[in-house]
Amino acid sequence: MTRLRSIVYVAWRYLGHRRLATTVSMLAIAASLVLVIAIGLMNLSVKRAAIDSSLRYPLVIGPKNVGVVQLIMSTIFQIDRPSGTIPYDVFEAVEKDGRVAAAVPMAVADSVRGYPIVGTSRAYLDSLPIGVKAGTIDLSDEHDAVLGAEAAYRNSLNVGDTFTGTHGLTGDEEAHHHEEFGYVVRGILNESGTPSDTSIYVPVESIWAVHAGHHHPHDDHDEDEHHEEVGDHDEDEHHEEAGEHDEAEEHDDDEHEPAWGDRRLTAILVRPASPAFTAILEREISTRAGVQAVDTARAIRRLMTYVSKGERMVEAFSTVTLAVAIAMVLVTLVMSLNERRRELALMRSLGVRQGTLGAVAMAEALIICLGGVIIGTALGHVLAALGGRLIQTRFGIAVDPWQITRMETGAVILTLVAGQVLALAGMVFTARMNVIEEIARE
Amino acid sequence: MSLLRCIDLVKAYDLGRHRLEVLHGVNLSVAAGEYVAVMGPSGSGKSTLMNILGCLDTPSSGQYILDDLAVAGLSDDALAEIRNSKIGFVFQTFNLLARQTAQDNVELPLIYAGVPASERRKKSMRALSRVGLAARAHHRPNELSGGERQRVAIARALINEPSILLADEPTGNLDSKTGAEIMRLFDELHAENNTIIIVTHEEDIAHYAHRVVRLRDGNVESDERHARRAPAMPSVKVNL
Ligand SMILES: Nc1ncnc2c1ncn2[C@@H]1O[C@H](COP(=O)(O)OP(=O)(O)OP(=O)(O)O)[C@@H](O)[C@H]1O
Ligand SMILES: [Mg+2]
Repeated sequence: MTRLRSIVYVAWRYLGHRRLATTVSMLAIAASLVLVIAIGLMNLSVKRAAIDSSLRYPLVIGPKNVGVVQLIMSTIFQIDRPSGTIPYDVFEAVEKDGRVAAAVPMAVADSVRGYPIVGTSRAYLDSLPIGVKAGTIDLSDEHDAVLGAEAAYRNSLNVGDTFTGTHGLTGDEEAHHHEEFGYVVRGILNESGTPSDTSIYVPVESIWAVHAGHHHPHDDHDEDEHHEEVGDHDEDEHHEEAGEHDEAEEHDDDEHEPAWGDRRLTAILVRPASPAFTAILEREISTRAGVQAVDTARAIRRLMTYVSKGERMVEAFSTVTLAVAIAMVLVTLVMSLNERRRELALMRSLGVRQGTLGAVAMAEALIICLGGVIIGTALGHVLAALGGRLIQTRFGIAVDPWQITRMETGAVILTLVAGQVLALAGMVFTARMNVIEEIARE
Repeated sequence: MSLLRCIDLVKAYDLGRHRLEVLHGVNLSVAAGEYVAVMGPSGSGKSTLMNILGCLDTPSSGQYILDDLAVAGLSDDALAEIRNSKIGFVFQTFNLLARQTAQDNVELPLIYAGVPASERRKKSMRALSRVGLAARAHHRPNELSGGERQRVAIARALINEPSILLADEPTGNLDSKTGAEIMRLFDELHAENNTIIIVTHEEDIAHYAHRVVRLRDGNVESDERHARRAPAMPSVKVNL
């Protein structure tokens, strides 16, 4: 026990002699771990959020000219702005279909300071596995609104307060304000770590009402937005929908985008009565003009391959950083061992065992690696807590910052194993030294 | 009763093609409390013999018995243990750690021996006092003179109260006046019943010892006891 303490003490003192190299090596390890933790958690959270919602609504119906990924991003994560609409009668038809267990209309056009106003049905709110924090879930009147916890908190809205929406989802101050149509807060949902936290739910009819008498200003505005959007989904399209898409139809739809007053929706979420119906419904619905149904799970898998590609790149990058960091530890270790050859020889002559000196070298490598691991994981998770908070407020994707991902475990094990290997190299070095020669050297 | 005994000690180096025999069957016996000087021309095998006596090296054949223990054939770790507890080495080049204070250097043999820090401090301070350097305990080697450095090295050799003190040309890097001071210190240590073996080229230095063993080409040429020459000056009393 005291021997172990002496070993650690001596190792610590040696590290103290080259504070800079030690600190830099530790920080290099820590930095790569922070990276690993960040991407691990980000990936995990997005995947989990996506899978949660895809389980609840296996099908999403949207306009045909929209990329699959964009459709998913806009309906499930509300990250991307929805572009294009579909007629309400699609919803009515789907709802009546015997093979459909539940269908949810969604109309998203406006926002309150960047928090999307989602026109939907009361049934959808009732189906959310989230309780109310204040008030009740009540969308019986056109002017009723139920707010996600974050959306309410950030806009300082309480039950009974009134607010109005702004056209578009950017929270842009310049955008058109729908001053004449006010909403009343009826209920506030509990925090759930889902996109619901940042949503403002209103009856779908109110979206139509808000936009009913305002064709003119919107037409201008829409026009602007439009070009942007075309560009947007053109890109998506070519990745996503190449082949199965009809150019002519897209054009048609774009040019005649109907006003909101015409009872339009941005998307419909569908839960088939049995998983067996998913594929059939997907095919049938997609035959309608201007409408497509997307298998959420499949789309998310596709989305994930994009995420994974990026993830793999960052992963490769962090592996390289980690390798460089470990190589740095090796170089400093070998340099310092070489520097103190004579000292090692002296210690041997004074009766210190070979194994003890090897253990000191081992302890040095381990202290650096362990120090890096501790700093890295602590910093990584603290940053994840801060960053995750931001992501949750912005996108309603819950990040559990204390979760330990597989990548993190892998990186930590890799670092410590590498530390051991380095330590072994140190041991071999001390064992191969000729004590007598070293000590007699002038 | 001898403290150490060499019987037909042979040391040979394997130089690939041929074998270089450096010690050709050395017989030597040293009793506790003796003060021996080993002399001989360069290359005669003095250091080789000292390294074996100090358990830094092992003989190719023959026996070396230290404190009734046959050393040949012991494991590296067992040899290390003997070096730590029974041998005190003093080198020509001092071999102090430049970055550490005199006291830290003296404590080195205790660091891994599981001696608590307070005990280490006490012991090292006592050893430094014995060589007259208590006041320099916190100086680093580069702040000390050559003679002082060698005293620190001697204090380090003494810290575990070894059975035997081995010094290979301890005055080799010192001027004659400082060398004489160091030899007086060895005298005092001998008077305190330490067993001492030193290697030297200088007859003057050898005269401090009570017995002179001469080596030539790996053989003991002569081994004689003589009446010690009295030191030219009265020895400097060191504080205890
Ligand atoms: N590791 C080794 N390999 C081969 N030969 C060696 C080795 N070590 C010592 N020798 C040889 O052994 C012989 C004796 O060397 P040793 O160092 O014992 O001499 P010495 O009496 O101490 O000489 P000096 O007075 O110069 O210190 C020399 O010829 C030397 O070259
Ligand atoms: Mg020699």
